[in-house]
Amino acid sequence: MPTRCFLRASPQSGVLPAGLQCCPRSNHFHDVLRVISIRHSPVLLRTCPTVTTLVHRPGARAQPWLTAAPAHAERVQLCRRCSRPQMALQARASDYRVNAAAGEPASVPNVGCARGRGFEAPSRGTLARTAHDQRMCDMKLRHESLRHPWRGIRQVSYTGSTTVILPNPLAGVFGRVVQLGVLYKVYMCLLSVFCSNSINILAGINGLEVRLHFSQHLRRASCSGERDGRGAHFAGTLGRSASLTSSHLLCLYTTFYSSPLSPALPTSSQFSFFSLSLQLLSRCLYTTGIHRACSSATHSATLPA
Amino acid sequence: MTFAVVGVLGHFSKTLLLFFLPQIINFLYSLPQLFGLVFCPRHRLPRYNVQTRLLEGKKENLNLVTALLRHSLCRAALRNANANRTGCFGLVV
Repeated sequence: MPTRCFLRASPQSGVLPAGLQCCPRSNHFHDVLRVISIRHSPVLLRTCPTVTTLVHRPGARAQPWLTAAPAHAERVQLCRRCSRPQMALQARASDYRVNAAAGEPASVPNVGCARGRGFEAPSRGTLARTAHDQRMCDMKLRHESLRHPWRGIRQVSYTGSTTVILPNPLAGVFGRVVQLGVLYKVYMCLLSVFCSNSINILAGINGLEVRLHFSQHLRRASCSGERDGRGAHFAGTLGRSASLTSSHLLCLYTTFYSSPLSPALPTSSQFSFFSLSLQLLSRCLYTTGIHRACSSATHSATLPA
Repeated sequence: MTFAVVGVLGHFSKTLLLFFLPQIINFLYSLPQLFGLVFCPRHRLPRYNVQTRLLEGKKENLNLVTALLRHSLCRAALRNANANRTGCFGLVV
């Protein structure tokens, strides 16, 4: 399978096609290079599925805090005020101490976004979260809820009737049968948003999704200790992260011991089938997503097996 | 999502909303928080308290689960159920 070979290629193997760069941390290929501006100083932004690195653009104004550790320095965050994907300094303190030749910067510079000011840089002791986690966690609710209509729109290739029959009290005003037209499709989109979000309300209650929860955290807790690319991207972390492992283990513990349903569910075949199929589906989606990102970056360059 | 698609394609989407009646009530109840009249934290659901072995919610988080769990009758029943180790699943549902 070309996809698999492609994904497994690493910079160490030395078989990279010309012009293709590999992320130094995650062994995934960089997707695109984008130029963004931090406070008048343009920098290159390399992204791969798990890590976004900042590289100082040659010729731009020197930024000691930026050039200190280009390989493993910063990740993208959303601006707290305007929610645009912008830069945050989230290097570990050790990176600074080791690499900054001019000495550690006195304070982490306030990094703004295009609309400016307002971003508070996280403290340097902050536990480095993954780019994926940040993208998921720092997303505003209104943007998060917009992810679903896109999926809904694909389903609304609906050409049937768009009429509604009104009940008696309303029929006198609007007529018995109302042709909604495009509004009907809008309604369908909104309905799909509502349904998919409202099921999620139940997700917080221990016991209702025990089986799913359990298998996910089991997988993550076991994967997050490994350093290879596969384990890394399943765990959503880069390399060994004891805190992540322990947090997943804690979830496992609370899920398993707090829920009254836990002894019953693992034996239920339909639940396990459900969660298994969900896992398989997410794996497939993830793989195809990476493949798409890679192929767009390399213009269908392939690798020897 | 599956429910929505089935409901729309099967032309019973309004009937489907009956199935989501608790969610709609929850939505109406949460409106002050959703529109920012009341502070809305990221997580509004009750959290598991290891000491008391209960799910405990904050009063300012307006949702049905919290309201239900904070109801005095329900709390007493939960504590009893916990003591008997029978669980609270029936109450929550």
